[in-house]
Amino acid sequence: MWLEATGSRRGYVASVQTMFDLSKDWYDGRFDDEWDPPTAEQAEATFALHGLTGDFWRLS
Amino acid sequence: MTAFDRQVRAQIYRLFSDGMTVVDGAAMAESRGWVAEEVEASLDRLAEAHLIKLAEGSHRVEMAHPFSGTNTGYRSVVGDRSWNANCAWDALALLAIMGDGEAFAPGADGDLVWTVDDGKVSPDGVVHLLIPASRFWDDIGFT
Repeated sequence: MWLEATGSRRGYVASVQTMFDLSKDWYDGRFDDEWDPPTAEQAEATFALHGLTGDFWRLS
Repeated sequence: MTAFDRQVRAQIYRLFSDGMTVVDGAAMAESRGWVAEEVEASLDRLAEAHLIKLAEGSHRVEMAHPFSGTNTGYRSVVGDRSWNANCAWDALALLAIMGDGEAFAPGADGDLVWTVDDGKVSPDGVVHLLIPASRFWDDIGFT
């Protein structure tokens, strides 16, 4: 309904548990001075750890 | 990223996590005894690198994911502490960082509420991501 109302296309639907679990890894170390943003390959690997693969999650 | 940019970036996260809602160049400088102009230049570099988003025409941090400097309606609560989030994913992510609690997302019939207890999210639900990962920062506000 929301997609029709806004004219948007369907993106990716993930469970709230998956997104929570991903966040544990995604934001690990974010408060540290030494934190570096992940490379595209590192980010894709983190996504894949949680089953998030395919074109939607591709960065490289 | 310069050594100073690293310190500034981390300090943004510390201030948001401590409950500050308006994190800007002046607040950042005061918190660490830094020179405001140097902090603002650093904030510009961090925004250019897509590590934060600044509010239009200012040095106020609007987004340091998952923290939001704006009351978006998405928020997370842990005990007597709460934080603004940018979206449903970020509301959950705040709990992943800050601990068990409740995540709130505005819905058509009132807030959707998820509870995280010992790392388990309930009730079941889904997050709909509209924009592919490679385009998250094309328009991060919309994302």
